[in-house]
Formats: sequence, C-alpha cells, structure tokens
Amino acid sequence: MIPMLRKSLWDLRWTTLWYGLVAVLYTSAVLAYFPSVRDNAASFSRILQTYPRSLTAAVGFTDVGSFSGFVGSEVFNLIWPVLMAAFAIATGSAVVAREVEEGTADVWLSLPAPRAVLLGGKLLALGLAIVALVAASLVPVAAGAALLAAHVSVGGVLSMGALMASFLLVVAAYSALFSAYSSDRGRAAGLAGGLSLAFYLAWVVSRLSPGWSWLGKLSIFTAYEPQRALETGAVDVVHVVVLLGIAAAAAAVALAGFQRRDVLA
Amino acid sequence: MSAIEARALTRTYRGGRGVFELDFRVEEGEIFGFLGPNGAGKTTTIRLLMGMLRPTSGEARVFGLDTWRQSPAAKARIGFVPGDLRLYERMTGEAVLRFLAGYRPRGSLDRGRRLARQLDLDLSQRVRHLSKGNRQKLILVQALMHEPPLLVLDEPTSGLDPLVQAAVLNLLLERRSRGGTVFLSSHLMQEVEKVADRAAVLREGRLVAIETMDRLRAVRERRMEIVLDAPTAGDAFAGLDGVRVVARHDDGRRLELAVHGDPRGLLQRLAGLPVADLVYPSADLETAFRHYYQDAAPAAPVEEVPA
Repeated sequence: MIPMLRKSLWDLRWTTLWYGLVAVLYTSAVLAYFPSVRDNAASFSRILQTYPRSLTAAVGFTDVGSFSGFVGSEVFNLIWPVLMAAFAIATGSAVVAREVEEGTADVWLSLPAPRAVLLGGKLLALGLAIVALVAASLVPVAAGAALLAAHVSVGGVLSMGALMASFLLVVAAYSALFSAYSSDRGRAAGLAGGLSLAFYLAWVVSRLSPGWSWLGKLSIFTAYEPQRALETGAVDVVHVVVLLGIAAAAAAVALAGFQRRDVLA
Repeated sequence: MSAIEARALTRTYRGGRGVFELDFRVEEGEIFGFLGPNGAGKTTTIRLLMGMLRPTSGEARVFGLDTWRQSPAAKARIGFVPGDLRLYERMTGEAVLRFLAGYRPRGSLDRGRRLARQLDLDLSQRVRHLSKGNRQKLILVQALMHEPPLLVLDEPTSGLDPLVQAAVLNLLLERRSRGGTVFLSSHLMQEVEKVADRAAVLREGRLVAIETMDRLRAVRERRMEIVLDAPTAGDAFAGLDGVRVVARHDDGRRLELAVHGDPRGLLQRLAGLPVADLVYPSADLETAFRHYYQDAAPAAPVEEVPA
C-alpha cells in the first residue's frame, strides 16, 4: 500500500496546497473584520434580528459578536464546508474513474496487488490530505484568537477540527464510492455533488419548520456543528462517531465493489 | 504446466459481443501470436488474462493460477504491455518506474534503469514530453523490469516507426531465447510471423484456428497484382497449385491473383510472360485468412502443440 499512498500524496500535493491556501487566506481575511464587527455587535445583532430566524439559522448565521459565532457564521458553518466539499468531491470522484478515463487503469491494475490495496492507498492519501486541509484551516483560527484576545480553548479548536475532518471524510468517502463503481469521473462527481446538495437541502428544510425536523436525521449536516464545538470546547462524540462510521462504511463498500467490478478502459 | 491455459473462457457483453468458449494453451518458452482484426476480442481476452474482467464462464490460468481469483499472484508472473500507450503524464519516467517497482521484487528498479539505458531512454523526462516511441520503450521497460516469466503484449508495435518495431520484436526473441514465454496480440500477420512459434486466429470472439506459423503461412492467401505489356489469358496460370485469377482488367493487361503458400512456381511462370510491373503486398488478416473469416460459422479449432 505504501507505494500507492506515496504516489497518491504526490498527485494530491498541488490541489491540497491550493485549497489549503484559499482556506487560510479566506479565514484570515474574514478574521481581519472581526474587531470592527465585535465593536458594533449590537448593530449587527439588530440587523440579523430583522431576518427570519429560521433563515439565518439555515445559512449558519448566529451570534456574530463572539469570536466563535463570527468564525462559525462567516466561515465554517457554510463557506468552508462548501469549498472543502468541492475538494472532497473532485478528488474522491477521481480515485478510480480518473484512471479509467485517462487510460492508466491498464498499468495500474497490472500491479500484483489486490485492488482493495491499490484503492486503499488512494483513500488513505485522500484522508491525510483532508487532515492537512483541516489543520491548515485551523491555523488562522488559533492565531486569530490569540491575536484578538478572544476566549477560545485549545480543546475547542481541536474539537472543531475533529468535526470538520469527520464531515469531509464522509463526503470524500461517498465520492470515492461513486468513483469505484463508475468509469466516468463526471458522473461520479455529479452523483456526489447531488447527494451533498440533497443533504444540505434536507438540513435547511429541517430547520425551517418543526414539521420537517425529521429530515435533519437524514442529513450529514445535522452532525456538522463546528461553531458549537468551538464554543463549548467539547466535541459531540456521537456526531463524530456517526460521521466516521458513515465514512468507513462508504469506503468499505467502495473497496469491496472495486475488488469485484470489471474495469473497461 | 502451461504458461497460459484458457478453458471454455467466455466473456459476453450486451449486444452479443465478447469472447466465447476460448480453449487454448500457451506452453512455456514459446511465442504465441493472437491474431484477429480490430474488434475480434483480442483485448477482451487480454483483460481476462490480466484479471481486469471476470469471465462470464470458463476460466483462464497463468502458471496454474486462476487469473480472477488469484489475480495478484498471477500478475506477479506477468509483464504487461497494454495496447493503449498511456502512463502517468505528469510523472517522469524514473518516478513511474520507482512507483511500479514498489510492487515488484527487490532489484526491479535497478534492472529497469539498466534496460532504459540499453534502449537509450531518458528517464528524467516527464511522460507527457516523451515521443510515442519512447513511451513504448518505457512501457516495455516496466513490463520487463521484474524479469517476468510471461510477457503479455497487446498490439505492442502499433503506430511505431519500423526501427522501434524491429527493436521490440528483437526483444521478444531475446526473451524466448532465455526461456521466457510471450503472448503477442496483433492484427498484423507479418508482425506475428516474424517471431511467433504458433498463433491463434480469432474471429468475432471465437477461435477459428490454432496453428504453427508454418501451417498458417501455408494456408494464408495473398494478393498479387501484375501489369503486363500484352493481353494475357486467364488460363496462363492454369495448373499452378495455390494460384487463381481473381480479376482481369484492360483485356488481360492487368491481372489480380490470389496466391496460397509457396510462390516459386508462380514466379517461374511469370518469367515467361511480358511482366511490366508487379505488386505483392503483405496481406491484411481478412485477406490472409479469408477462408476462416468468410465461413458462416467458425470451425472448431484443432490445436497443435509443439512437442
């Protein structure tokens, strides 16, 4: 598995670097506005109160006067998961389909290793890239909190990171699952993107009306509460376990399916 | 033990395409040609041998190992040259070899580097900057770097210049001289006949012949076009075994002949005729084995295994 892991990390290096850079720069730029928002928190709160509460909750806007509320509202509740889901979908849907599309599957599958090992190396590399992206995203949060004298605990930052990584691992795993069964990268990415959108819409609708709250149980976004993790300094273990469980199950099905499927270039 | 053994190997696709009931053996130390026009099922057969496709029924074995159930062990004994010359475009040749050597026995990378030097291949270049000939060399190097007892090649000289083609075929002969086995898929009879000991002929997914190359040479048909200075009757070639007049043009000044087997009798007859020009091209597969390809139903192949 090691040669495959090494090659996959090499393949992912630029994409990961660029996404990481965007996350760091965007988060840093947003945090630069925090002092002025904090100084005018009452005005911002009044403006937010003029919007329907369900709507602000749906798009992740809450208390922008606190550091954790501001970071959550402006970055991690919506923008960050959308940006990073794009990374997870693009890279996850490429794990098998790209080899088929680019005609390298013949050489790849001529290697004397079980297919699950070959794909497993790629999935492991993707997981490590996600951990690196999450770590990069947390750097400006920790630095910003220190510079702006905000009350954020190390546990809060780490808890948020655990939740963010778990969430992205799920998206990457089901993207890889679609890729493992499809020879078309576009189709795999489309299915993964569609499923992500469905999860998001289910979560939004579940928050608009109590009658639709049951939809939240069908969405991975329900378990994704980074702002709360940052505020409380504790991660909801059940949420992380559920997310990691879904990711592991999707990866296992991808490995099993790829082991058995025909590969036609 | 045979290097390759296919027993009733079948793989069907929608629309009735695929390969059906393939039965053949490739013995250790031989070069086995696998002939068929494009779409006959050669690549499907190779994908079955390489464990990329699961047989619908039947089985294929490489040195006794099932190519689907024991695919990694079987592939450890194979050097594979795919028909499509695509490798990882952004990697250098050295990086490609290092990656692939990670799954091969110790020493494979050094052997790969030595082979690349022998073939005058610059491994420091990215794959996307390599010419088609150099890509083919790199694919050959990766197939040979672990010294596999069996080489499986899918149209290995397709689109290459004659010098590289000759180098590839020489490499195969060298492998055989060292006891290696080669499974060579091609749609070019003239390529296979240069190196192969035996060949199978595939038609619409079914084997129609498995013969020694001498036997295939004897039964193949070639076309000869003759331009004459004077009109010549069609019966000028009467009594010649394996020669028939296919067409007469310009009142017999231009003749098209179908020729089977040894052409020496024909050449003697032509010496007595006012021949102005003569064209005797290599035959394409459909022409060479017209009798196999024109039959409504493929005949059951009779396998001749060398003693």
